[in-house]
Amino acid sequence: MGAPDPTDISALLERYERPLVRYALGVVGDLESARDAVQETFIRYVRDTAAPRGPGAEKHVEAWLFTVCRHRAIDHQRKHSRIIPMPLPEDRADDAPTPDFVIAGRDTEASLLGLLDRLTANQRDVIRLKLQNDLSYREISQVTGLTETNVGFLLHTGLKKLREIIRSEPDFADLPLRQTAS
Amino acid sequence: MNPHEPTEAELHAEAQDLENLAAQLRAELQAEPAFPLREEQRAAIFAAAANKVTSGPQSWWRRGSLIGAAAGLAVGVLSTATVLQMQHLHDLRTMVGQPRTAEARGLSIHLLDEPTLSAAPEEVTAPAPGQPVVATQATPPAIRLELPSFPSAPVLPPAPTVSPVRSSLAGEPASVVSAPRVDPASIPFVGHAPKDLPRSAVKDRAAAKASPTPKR
Repeated sequence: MGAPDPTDISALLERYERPLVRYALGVVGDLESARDAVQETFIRYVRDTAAPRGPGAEKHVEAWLFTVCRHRAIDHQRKHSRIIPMPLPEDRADDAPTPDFVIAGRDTEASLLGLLDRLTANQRDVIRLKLQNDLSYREISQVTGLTETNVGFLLHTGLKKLREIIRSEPDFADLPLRQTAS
Repeated sequence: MNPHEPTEAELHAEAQDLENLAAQLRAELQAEPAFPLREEQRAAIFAAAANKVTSGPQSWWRRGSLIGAAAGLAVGVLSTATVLQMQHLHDLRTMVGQPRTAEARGLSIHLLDEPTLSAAPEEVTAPAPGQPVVATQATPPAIRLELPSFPSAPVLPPAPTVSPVRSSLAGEPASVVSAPRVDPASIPFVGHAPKDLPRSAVKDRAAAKASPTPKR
């Protein structure tokens, strides 16, 4: 998928809205906070004169959006670390599982996503940006503030740690990866 | 060969293992549900974009570079004005403080000392017997005032030059200004008569004094 026109806010929303909410949800762990972070990201993009625009800015827009979104999500995470969430009954309009329920329940599943929480924050961040959003090492370096070498190292050590967990724990016996490794 | 060192086949298998893990993790991560923004959040973003577009040309003065340049200019002007004012105050203090300093030190200031007097521009010619005293004054450097030559402008006559003052020691009348002569007898006498006044004059004055004059 090609990069949208940086001046077309509608095209930018169409392209990056959902990936940014998903990424922010992985950082902050709360859907509403993730949505707020993404909304603030786009409003800042609109108002900030230093945001990448013009010809040739398509390559930089994605890294800029993820950088600001990451910072906003971390800010929300710090705010919400002191708040105990209370589920509201009126929000459950149907029997469909809420996004929070999906996120909270993934630890119980024998999936790789549930194992990500056992990694460090930096390893989790790098794996999400690389494997989920297909950012290059340079873009991940811009988003996280780490060096490109450090990005590669964190990605490698994170994957090795996941593999060790899969090999050592019986809950993941049905994963095809374990069968391949053994 | 170190028995704990992995063989090439083991390294290849490990790399393949990690690649498979990465592929599986990528598939799961990209299949993770991605939620959109709420409608009001999208509306807020579009409203911010519309506001930015409409207010963009009018808010050019809010650019950071312009604000910084204006602030720098203001600081420069203020600092320059302050420096100039401080210099002026310093000069004034120096001018006022010097005489006081001299007085405090007990120094006497000779404004017209000998070298100054000897170097005075006035030249006095000693009069010779029978010759008029001529006092000439050194002419100061001429200041030329050139008026524009308008056709309607009146032409001022040249300023009269003061001729040297001549006085005669041989009894010649002054050629420049002569004071009117006054008859001493026409000066009214008031007060006591001096002792050397003629007796007739004293009598006339006594008679004039004794004459009846109506009292008011």
